[in-house]
Amino acid sequence: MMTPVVEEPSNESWLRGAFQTYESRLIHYARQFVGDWETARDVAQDSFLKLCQQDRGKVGDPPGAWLYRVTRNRALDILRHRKRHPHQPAETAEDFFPQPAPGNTAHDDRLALVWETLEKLPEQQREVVRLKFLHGLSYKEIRQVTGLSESNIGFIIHTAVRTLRGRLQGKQP
Amino acid sequence: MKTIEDDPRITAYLLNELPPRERAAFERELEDDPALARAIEEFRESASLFNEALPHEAAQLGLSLAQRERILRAASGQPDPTHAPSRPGWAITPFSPAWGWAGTLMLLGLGAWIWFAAEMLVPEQSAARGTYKYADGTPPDAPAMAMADAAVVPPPEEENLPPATEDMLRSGAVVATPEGGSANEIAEIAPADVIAAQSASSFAVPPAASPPLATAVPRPQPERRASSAPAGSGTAGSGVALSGYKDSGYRYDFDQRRAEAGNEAYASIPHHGFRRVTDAASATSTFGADVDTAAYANVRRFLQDGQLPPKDAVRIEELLNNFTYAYPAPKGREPFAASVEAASAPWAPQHRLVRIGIRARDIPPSARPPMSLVFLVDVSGSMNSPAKLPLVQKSLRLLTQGLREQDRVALVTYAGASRVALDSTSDKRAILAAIDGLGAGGSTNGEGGIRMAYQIARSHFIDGGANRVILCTDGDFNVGTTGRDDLIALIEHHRASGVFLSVYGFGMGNLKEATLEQLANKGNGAYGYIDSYAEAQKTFVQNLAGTLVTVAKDVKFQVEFNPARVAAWRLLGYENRLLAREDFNDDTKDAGEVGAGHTVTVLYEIVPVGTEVPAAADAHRYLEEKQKSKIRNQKSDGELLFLKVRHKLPDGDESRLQTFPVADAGGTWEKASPDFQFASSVAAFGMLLRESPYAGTADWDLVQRLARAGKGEDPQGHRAEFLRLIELARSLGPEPR
Repeated sequence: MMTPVVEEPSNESWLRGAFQTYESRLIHYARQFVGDWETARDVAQDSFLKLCQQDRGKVGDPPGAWLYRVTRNRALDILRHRKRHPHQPAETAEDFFPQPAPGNTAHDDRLALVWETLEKLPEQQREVVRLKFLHGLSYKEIRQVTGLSESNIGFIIHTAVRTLRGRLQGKQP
Repeated sequence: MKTIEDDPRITAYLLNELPPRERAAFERELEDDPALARAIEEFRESASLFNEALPHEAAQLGLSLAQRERILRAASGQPDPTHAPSRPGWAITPFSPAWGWAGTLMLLGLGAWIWFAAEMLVPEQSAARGTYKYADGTPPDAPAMAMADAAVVPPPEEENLPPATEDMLRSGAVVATPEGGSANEIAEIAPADVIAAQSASSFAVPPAASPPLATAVPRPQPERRASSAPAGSGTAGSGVALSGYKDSGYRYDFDQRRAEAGNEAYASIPHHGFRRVTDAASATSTFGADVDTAAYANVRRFLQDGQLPPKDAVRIEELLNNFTYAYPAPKGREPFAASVEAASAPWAPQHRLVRIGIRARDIPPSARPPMSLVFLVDVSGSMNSPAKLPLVQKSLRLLTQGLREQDRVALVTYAGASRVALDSTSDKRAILAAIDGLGAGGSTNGEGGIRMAYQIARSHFIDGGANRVILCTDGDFNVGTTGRDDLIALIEHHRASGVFLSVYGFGMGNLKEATLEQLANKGNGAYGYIDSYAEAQKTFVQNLAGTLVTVAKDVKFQVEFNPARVAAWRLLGYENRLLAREDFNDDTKDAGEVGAGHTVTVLYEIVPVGTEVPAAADAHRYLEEKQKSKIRNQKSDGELLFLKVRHKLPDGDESRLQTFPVADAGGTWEKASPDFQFASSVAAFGMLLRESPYAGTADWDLVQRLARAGKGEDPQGHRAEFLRLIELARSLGPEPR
């Protein structure tokens, strides 16, 4: 009797799938650190090139956490280098994304409050919150990217959510 | 004191992050503890708000095609020749000094990637999320450094890379701007070579000097075709990479290095060859004016991205008209003046190059007619990318700042549904606030939006003013069920009643150039491509009057060549503007519009009688003889050509005719005016990028030499920028034939 064979995707199509899934996200992620899109694209490209040379077994499947980690380390390298070479000023990060229209609806107000809250969070909390809500990473993946413990991550995210809740309650009459 | 609210399991539970066993335990606690259950409900809203405010699928960004190509190569296990072996894992990034030759290796196996890129560029059609904010614009240094300290991450094994790579990352394709030292030598113009002509004025024809006879004329070769796989055929992963590979020294067919631009669509442009003069028809050239400059910004975008533009994206007339030339201004109330200059063709010295320059009357801001504008902005999901909606907002802000009290603006957005975001007003603050409030999301229903925009323009029509709809889109203009013909009928209908339409394309990857240009042409308006803040400034600040105020419409050119002097001719560019000979005098035939202060530049390459005509134009055995006998009977054989220009006033229906006889004093291009040399450089640049078989001896050195000689004062730096583009094109570009 023949057993149906489930074929593993070839290495190339696996890499291609990874690229398709993470291309846009990694560019966004890198830009949070480096500030400009040009460098962010370069960093993302380098992460994918590096992925191509890695043993798939070591990377893990899906490779999201690995890619985020490599991108993060690379971006931090660039920032360190910029700090050592202040004569090469970084391009100022420009916020390309539309700001919320002021006071359209109550719901928009509350979204604006989320962004405001986010901006006031300490940087570490902000990074973890972004990884969770913007990039959709699990606690475990965030641990792999940042090196923070999972319980620490859980605490950080909980604190951020609680802060927002407090501000929402403060707004209510 | 610890409270229930301090329990991080609340959030973890809501986010489904609790491991199964903990989850079960937590749920049992929940049942017993109403306070905890209440806390869950209170936190639920905040957690979901975070989720909503930070959408997972933010604006879809992509790497450049060049970067993608490198990754595909690496994914398919091909060695990357740009890879620096001393730095495992990190390769030289595009625009590094090695890029020039590395570029020759790039676009292998493009077929699969075209498909792949197209898949990825499909705009997100998710439901409208309204506005959202992403990267929070923190200063890149300080907080992130703090993060680096906080997070103790053992770097992955191969992470110890020397920071020098950073230099490569940042060493952009910046090329030093050459200073025009040679310009002065060549700037002396023999006045006899320049014939400035005012409307219907006659002028002396200089004595004819025979142009030098040709020794050898380069034969045009049939255009090379790409051997690469057709788009869409390469969906399978394997076997696509090295189809064009030749062992000998990494040389590839040029076409494979050319950008294949995702969903972008360009109408194909034929190479127009020489036309041999045998009779009245073949001695006449007729076409409509075109002041669009979109192709220049588009070509610049490709080059700066490290790619050669698709050939059909290179429109020579739009490259030429991107620049302003110092043509003499019209006198009095004439809408425009024409000037003509002839010299040897720099890429084929045995040929003559005739430059026709038109300059439209400039209108100072105080004398501009009042304007009623309707901004029609595409806010569909695909616009949510840095180069799209945010740039639209900046552009419209610039435009608004140039408006006066008597001008009015309305703002209409369209996505899944159209919406009047701002009814027509002259309150600048309200306009700016409405522009700032734009946000993207949803699918594209262009038709509904354009109907609404016209409706508002009609109800706020200013008699004797400039009434215009300004459409800003990334090009996916969905015309709904009624189709394109109905849309064009709609645009033509409103054109007749005095509401014109201008179209501006933004962003990349989705641009339907042919469609957008056609809409603008039908609407008596300009089509522009805005790729940067600088281009927005050029269009909406420096050229605001030209963008919005039309001084002449249906501008047509007809050139009659003198068979006694001209054996064959060809028009450079304007391929999609050609008109039938009889259309010139037909006032019902639509043609191009010219805005205030615009200059229009037209180049003809002429094979003088007595010079071998390139093979593209076959001789006609009998007509040739007839022509020769005719030549002996020519009267005004000192003239090279006779230029006729027709135009209508913006609100007129009857055209006016101006005529200019043109002679050729026989000068060489080295002695021609700076503007002549600069225009020649731009034309040669376009021919090289298009791999035109008529580029003759043109190479990048010649292009550069001409541009430097013609750079002139260049107060706005546009010509200096062109010199940088030459360097970029040279490093990527085709070897001249």
